[in-house]
Amino acid sequence: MTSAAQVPADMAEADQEIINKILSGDRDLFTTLIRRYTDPLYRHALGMTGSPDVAEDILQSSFIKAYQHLSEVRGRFDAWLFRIVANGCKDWLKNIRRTHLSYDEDDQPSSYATPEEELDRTELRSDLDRALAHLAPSLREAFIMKHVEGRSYEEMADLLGTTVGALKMRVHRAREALQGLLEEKYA
Amino acid sequence: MNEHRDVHESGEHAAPRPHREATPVAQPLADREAPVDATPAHSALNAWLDGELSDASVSIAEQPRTIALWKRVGADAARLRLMATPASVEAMVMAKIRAGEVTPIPRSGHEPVVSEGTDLRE
Repeated sequence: MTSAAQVPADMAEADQEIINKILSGDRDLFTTLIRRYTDPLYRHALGMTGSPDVAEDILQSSFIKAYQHLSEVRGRFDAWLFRIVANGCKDWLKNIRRTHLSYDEDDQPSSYATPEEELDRTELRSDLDRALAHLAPSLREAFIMKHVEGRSYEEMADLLGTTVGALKMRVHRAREALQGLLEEKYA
Repeated sequence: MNEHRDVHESGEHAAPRPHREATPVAQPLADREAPVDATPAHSALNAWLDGELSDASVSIAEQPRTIALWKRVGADAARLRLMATPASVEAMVMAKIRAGEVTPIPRSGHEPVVSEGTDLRE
């Protein structure tokens, strides 16, 4: 699967060609764009929300929003699509924080579909999800992009429209905070 | 400058107020609340996690338990990197598109304006 920000210029041009064809009526071609970019975006949403169900919902609504606004794409489609998904995640986080004013750890999203899936989660994964939930969205986003999505700082800067230095700072702060939250149990 | 701006840009300080006041992890950490540890050991740790130092180099930083923690986190993240989008996402999106429930919004300013008085003949 192609990672956003690793998209070569010819693929960006190919994306634009596909977009032009979709806008001309070949709507089934949207599947090509979905398949090209969906997995890294899903992992981003999963890392940000900690919930497969929520990640699916965010991806679905993001793809539909992207389809509706395809005519507005200027420049790289993958970066534009990433921003839609990233904003969807941040909006969800803001909303859940508003609606869980007195939440505790048990309120953290955990909507894995089956008991088997729940069992499959490692204890560390659960603890990490809970710890991530204590970070500001910008720190969580930077940590997920670096550690879960495996992006370089340059890719992250490209996608988020900020500097490498700022992102390093966010990742370092996130690591320090997470370490503080996890080391009592694991270190 | 950028670092300073980032701290104030997050806008996520309306944090939840958890029940467990005695728990040190209870207070959500906003950017400005997470201090940066600039000790040499911590710098080495970050350099290692950023791929700038080898395992051997960081091992001599005398923090084997911390290294072990981050290796576990790294292994878990590697498993997450293998996760794929459920097929239902594409199926749901394309079903709505094919059913005509969603359509591309035309570029503004590019659509012809058709009114009762418009002559549509060639």
